[in-house]
Amino acid sequence: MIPASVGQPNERSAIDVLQGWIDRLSLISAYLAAGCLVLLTLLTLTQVALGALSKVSHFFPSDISFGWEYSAYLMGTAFMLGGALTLRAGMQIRVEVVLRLFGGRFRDPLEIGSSIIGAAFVSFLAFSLTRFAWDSFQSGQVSGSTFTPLWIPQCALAIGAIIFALQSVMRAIAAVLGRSLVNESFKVTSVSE
Amino acid sequence: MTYVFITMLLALFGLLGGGVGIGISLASTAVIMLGVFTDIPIGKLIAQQSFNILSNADLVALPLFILMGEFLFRTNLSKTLFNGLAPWAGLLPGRLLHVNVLASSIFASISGSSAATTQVVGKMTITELKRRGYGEDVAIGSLAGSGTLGFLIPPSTVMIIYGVLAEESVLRLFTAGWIPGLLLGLSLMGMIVFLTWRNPDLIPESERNLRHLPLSDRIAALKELAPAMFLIICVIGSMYAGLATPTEAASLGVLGAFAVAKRQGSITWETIRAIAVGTVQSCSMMGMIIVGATILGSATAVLGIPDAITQLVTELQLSPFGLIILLMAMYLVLGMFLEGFSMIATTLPVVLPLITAAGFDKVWFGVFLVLVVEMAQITPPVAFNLSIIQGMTGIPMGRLWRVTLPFLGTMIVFTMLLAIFPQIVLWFPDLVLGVTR
Repeated sequence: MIPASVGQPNERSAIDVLQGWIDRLSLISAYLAAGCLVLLTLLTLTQVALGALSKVSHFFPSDISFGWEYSAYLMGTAFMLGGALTLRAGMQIRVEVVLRLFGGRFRDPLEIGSSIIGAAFVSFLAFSLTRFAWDSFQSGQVSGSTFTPLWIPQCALAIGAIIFALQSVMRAIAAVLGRSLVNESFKVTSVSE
Repeated sequence: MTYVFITMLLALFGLLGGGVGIGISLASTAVIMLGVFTDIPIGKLIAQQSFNILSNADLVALPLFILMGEFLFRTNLSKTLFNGLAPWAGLLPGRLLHVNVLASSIFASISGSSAATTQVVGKMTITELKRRGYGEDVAIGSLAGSGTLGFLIPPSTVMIIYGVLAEESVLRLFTAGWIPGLLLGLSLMGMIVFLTWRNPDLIPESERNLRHLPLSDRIAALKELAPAMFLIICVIGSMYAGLATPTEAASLGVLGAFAVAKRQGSITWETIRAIAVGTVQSCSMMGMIIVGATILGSATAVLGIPDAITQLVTELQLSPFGLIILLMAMYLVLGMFLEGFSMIATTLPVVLPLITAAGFDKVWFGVFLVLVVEMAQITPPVAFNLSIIQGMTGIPMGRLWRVTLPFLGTMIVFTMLLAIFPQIVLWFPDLVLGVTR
């Protein structure tokens, strides 16, 4: 990729620094997501164990009262927190047929256009989720089964979405400047589905 | 309503074609539609819908099965499956070519993904069948065909997503997958027998005496299947013994897969990092698509599209079978450009009301969708499973597609049979879980 801003070394390095920070933030966010998934697995396994033990002795409760609800919150949080890294690894799937077919001349404008739309939507989502969490906080909403204040899980989603939005905006900037859209070091060998 | 519909199709296909991410395309289409045709607060709707779907307990099984798949990918299950099944496959006309189907069926009852199935089974069979001198075309084609069993034979990530989006019991969908899955496996094996009967050169001379292996050797080989059987008991056994819900079974599967990988010494800090990042990426990728589908689904509901479609179907008086043929054709075309999950997410908001209006059972339609999704995984230019095989063999896409055709044909005929005899799908869940209709 040819840097678009050759001859302006200061500006280029500023973008590099910004991209580096957002990439680091995305990575931390993804590790937090992985942490949520570990907790979620342990929570579900505990449910299974309690279910089995309660059949043997009534001493054990048959489940954890908040188990289902919290495992679902952990799942949602993990999905959102992983968004930024996934985008930067080039793993958010999209239809690439047109991009490939009309490659060359139209490829760059299409990349710019799609990145801007992506950035716009994810920013809107992040904004909406933040306001949603704030509204829940102000009105003191709680969940039906465990009376957990809803702003807590909503806030977790909002934080994930904000980091995702930062990376999306950065991608749009990178596309406009003709820089690389993917950080190769974020790619891993995996089943990828 | 016509305007609404045309705007939706234009926005959706414009965004998808322009290279916008699938989930974002779906959600942005919803935003455009709501912005143009209604004055409801859009931000509130998308936040509420995102939160609802991302805190849906039925979806929790999805990340668990993905995590389990990542562990399985790092075990040597492919080798043990091959060693355990090969002596038995040698008895059949078509010999070791059947290992592709047999190993896929077994692996599919552990894992929920067809990509993982293709990868794990192919890792061993591609090189081993080639080394022994089997016809490469049929070896690759049958791998591509049978790898898709990963979605049909439970557990199945596609069924979890369909179940959540269509509000249908995941356990019931899983149960409905068994009989069609095993029958499709048999059909694919039938195709292998047919191809090798027509062209006996596909099987090397040296492999003909596999039939004469002593029985004791065959029985000894079964030992190799122990890790696979252990995992099947964790996932499927726990579910049908009534000890675990699909989600809990998935967590047992994660534990079991971790234990197998650990025992085989494949757990290092490096692999743990790759497993963590790989799982998070797969989850977020699918999560975004599911969020997009949910937002679009609620937008179409707000706009009254489902009602309009129901009305249209009643007016058209399409025969149910005609409708299914039409849908199958549509999905085959879409499958050329979209990958499986995206196809379900993109079409379900419109297709589900259509299907229920025409009087189809949601469980039956789930199985039908899984089959068309499987076909999508092997129809180029966008063919996820073929890309995986391409990555492993370096064979060009055109040739992969050609060698897969007989097996794709088998799947198309099989799907039509299910449309003619829906009881093939429905009698087993009715038997096991009782009739609920």
